[in-house]
Amino acid sequence: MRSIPPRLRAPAYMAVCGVVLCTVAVSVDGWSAALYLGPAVLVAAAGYYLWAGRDSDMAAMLRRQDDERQAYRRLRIQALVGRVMGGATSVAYLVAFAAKATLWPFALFLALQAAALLAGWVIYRERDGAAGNSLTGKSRVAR
Amino acid sequence: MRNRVREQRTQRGLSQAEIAAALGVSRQTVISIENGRYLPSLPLAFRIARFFDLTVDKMFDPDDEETGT
Repeated sequence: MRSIPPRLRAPAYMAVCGVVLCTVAVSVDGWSAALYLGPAVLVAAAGYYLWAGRDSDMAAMLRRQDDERQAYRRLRIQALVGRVMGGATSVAYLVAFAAKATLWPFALFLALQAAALLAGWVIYRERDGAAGNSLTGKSRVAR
Repeated sequence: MRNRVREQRTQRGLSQAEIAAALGVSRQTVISIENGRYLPSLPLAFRIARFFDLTVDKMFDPDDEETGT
């Protein structure tokens, strides 16, 4: 993936995933599935590519060429997404519990959340002599 | 915290894009720093100061609590 320009990486990944998805859909539902899935994948990949070419914070984040301020912003956005998803999973678990519905998918996501918290605690702990940026961990930030 | 990035940049007749390229950050980040909306990290603050041949304490004034990150 290193040889692919940053702006093209995500669209290329989307296109590959789209082809796989279309192949599965065609094998299950026939060619009619490809009629809406194919254009949707193409539009998504092209839109992503065009958006990533703009001169903006979001475009830099999409290209994964964000500087320290943009990386800090991306981390805050990701933290917010994580908090919202964690909260939504907890609420969904309670609703499923009250409705006596299937609980294990929600329990699984809550367990994953706890595991990710522990993993993050271990991976991102401060080590003696460790150099790097506290926000991003990217060496290029501290050029 | 007030800084002298805009003042030094205009004195040298440089654009925000040129400063951004020299510092290895985006133009938007230079704009944010100039407007005091973003406080740069210590390594970036040193790069900015060195670029303008100033010391960090000359470039950034900690006594002025005008803005934060």
